[in-house]
Amino acid sequence: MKYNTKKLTLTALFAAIALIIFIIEAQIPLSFSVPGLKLGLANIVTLLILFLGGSWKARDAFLVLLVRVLLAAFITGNTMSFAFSFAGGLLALGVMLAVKMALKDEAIPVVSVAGALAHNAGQIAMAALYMQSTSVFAYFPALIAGGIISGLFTGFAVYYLFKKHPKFIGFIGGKK
Amino acid sequence: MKLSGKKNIVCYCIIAVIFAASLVVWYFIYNAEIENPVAKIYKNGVLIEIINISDYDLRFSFTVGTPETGINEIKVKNGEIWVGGITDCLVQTCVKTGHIGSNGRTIPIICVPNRLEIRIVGGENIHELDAVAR
Repeated sequence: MKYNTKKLTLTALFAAIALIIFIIEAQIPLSFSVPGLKLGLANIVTLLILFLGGSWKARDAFLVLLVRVLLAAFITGNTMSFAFSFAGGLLALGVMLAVKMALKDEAIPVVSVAGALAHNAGQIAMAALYMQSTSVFAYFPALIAGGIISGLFTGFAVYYLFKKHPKFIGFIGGKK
Repeated sequence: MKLSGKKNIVCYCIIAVIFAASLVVWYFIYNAEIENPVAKIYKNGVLIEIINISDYDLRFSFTVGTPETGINEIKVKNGEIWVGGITDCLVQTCVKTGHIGSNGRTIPIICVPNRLEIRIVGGENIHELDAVAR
């Protein structure tokens, strides 16, 4: 692994940003009859790293995800949410990579939606395994609808970051 | 970085179809009318209680679980069942789910940390289930 000072600092910064988004997001009550629904805004950071290119690889996105989930578990003291977040996050990362490779024209919102849906699927599967019950799948349709909306939102957020701030993208070592 | 393009358009169409389908399925799960609903309470995947929720005109509440396995306070009144009061889980999703059992609300209440689940099912075979529970 080759990490110069700038990249190491930026990776740590990304992890910190993702963690802050994750914690602020947990305070937003989204309980309109769909328990478990979250905005998934922390995925913005993963998505950004995936599309940066240059010296940024999927490995870096994985590292940031791991640090974010670990620190969130330490801060909230919720060890179980670690397993859930990690399962969801890892599945989302894998699916986003696959969809990104399949769609060569780099459609950020589409990749983002795929990631959000994979994240929900991973969490539901974990919950079903833990509960030894398939009842949790009753929530899946609502989580799919919510995941599509939040996935589009985070996708367009990253898309406009690339489009409107090419200087920033260039500064952090991404392609123009 | 483009948003248009043939592949993209196809993807957005697929996303739109999935979105519409999930809303339709969600509507049917949320609005399932069940005759003589009874609530089945599961802890750790084991059926521990069957309650005829329409039997209680006054509020009836009880707790399930121990401090080790997690405590949930369950309340029943007028054909509705919900989780509230002293419920020691971090996420409180089970409390936020609200009242189920009436107005076609049949979404199961699930408390993942405490492995508790409350399902609303039709009551035609309640006696058979009662025999199993005892």
